[in-house]
Amino acid sequence: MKRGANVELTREIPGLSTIVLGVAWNTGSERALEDNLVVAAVLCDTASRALSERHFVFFNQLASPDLSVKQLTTVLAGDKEQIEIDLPEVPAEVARIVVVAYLNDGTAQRRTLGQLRELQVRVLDGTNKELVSSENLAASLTSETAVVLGEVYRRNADWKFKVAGDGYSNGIAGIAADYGVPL
Amino acid sequence: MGIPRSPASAPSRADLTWLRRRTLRDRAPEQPPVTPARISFARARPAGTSLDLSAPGTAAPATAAPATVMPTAMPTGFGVDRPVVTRPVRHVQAKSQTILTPRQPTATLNRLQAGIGTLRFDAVWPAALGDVRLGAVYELADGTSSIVSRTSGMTAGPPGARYPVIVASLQAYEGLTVDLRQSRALSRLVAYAYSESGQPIIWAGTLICETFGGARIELPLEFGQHQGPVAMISVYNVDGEFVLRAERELIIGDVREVARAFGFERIAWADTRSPVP
Repeated sequence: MKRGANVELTREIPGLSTIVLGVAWNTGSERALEDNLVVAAVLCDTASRALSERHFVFFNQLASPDLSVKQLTTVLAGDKEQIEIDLPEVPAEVARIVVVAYLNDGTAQRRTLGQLRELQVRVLDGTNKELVSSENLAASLTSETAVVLGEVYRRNADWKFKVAGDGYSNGIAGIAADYGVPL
Repeated sequence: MGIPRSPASAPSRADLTWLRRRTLRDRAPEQPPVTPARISFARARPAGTSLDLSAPGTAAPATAAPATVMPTAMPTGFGVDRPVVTRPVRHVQAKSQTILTPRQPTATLNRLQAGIGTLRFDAVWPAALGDVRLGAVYELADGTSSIVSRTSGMTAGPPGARYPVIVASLQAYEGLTVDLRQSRALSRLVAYAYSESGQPIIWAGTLICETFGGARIELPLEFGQHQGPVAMISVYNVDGEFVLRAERELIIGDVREVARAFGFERIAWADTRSPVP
């Protein structure tokens, strides 16, 4: 799937309840890039604003309050990070689940996502069967330090998935501002 | 359909670590040992701890007044006839200023504030204080304990790490930086200050802690006069949240006694200020 493309999930596959968003990347020899890359999911309302700080799922907050969205600590099928979504359990007030990647602004020397060789997001079902996969999103990144990879969102009674690939040069702070994540 | 299992026999879920806070607590939170070398600055504080280690889901409203309760089970020698004061969790708001006082000595960073960017401590004190230095004694989740301070030569912890969890640095002020990408590796730390020449200090200034989102937690360093190190603030990792507590403990001795006063027993010391490398 190219950037901006979307696909029907539950309409194409009736009965699909559990999906896994898998994120894979290749940093080459950039160890600092590898160790500081973080994947997170933001549970948003219809205005694309995070419901609260508890609705930001990442390594230090492994599940949403309702447990419908979870970051997996044991990753399978070749991904670097995986986020599991139990679609029927997602609260009605959650209109979209945005999956992002960012470089933590820590003590290590600063890196950018433009140094990535590959960056890909894909959707798997509950049996780890790949449903759809994005193109290499790293190709369009240069000096960015955060990127919106894609989103799972409601459309009428169904769920869809869209590839985004929108980069942020101001890192997670930019994403937090756009999606109303209180830091 | 599987056979129903009891929680005791169910397989462990390493991916559901937050569930640990739902388990019943069968013992009180561990107390730092009280040693003769440690002078409590808050002598009037009632027995028990004011460090609230409760899980975030059980937090009382921030505006609630402190509750006074009687302990249900307390070992002898802890003053069972005296009430225990429990304070509500005071969560830090984004871009806000929080001051740690003797009446409100704690503040809590949520899991985002404790997991994104860095946590920076800056010691802002007047030049008239002289040769005052900043350091921290820390414990990692794997049990590693040591110190970081610019004067000890151990400026990063753990020693030799490619990406240290905590770094002592000098920018505008002497400071400490915690890499929050590795926040799960940090169990606790205690930041301290001392006179390098061992002179008595009439303490002044402020210790400023700043989150990635711009929230500031400030501790006024108004401890009066003291000869010896001062344990200023502690940070405890509680289920991913960071609980900051103003310790305000005047220590008789040196850096080694700061560590011992807070139960950092797994450090071998080369001298009273420097662990064995």
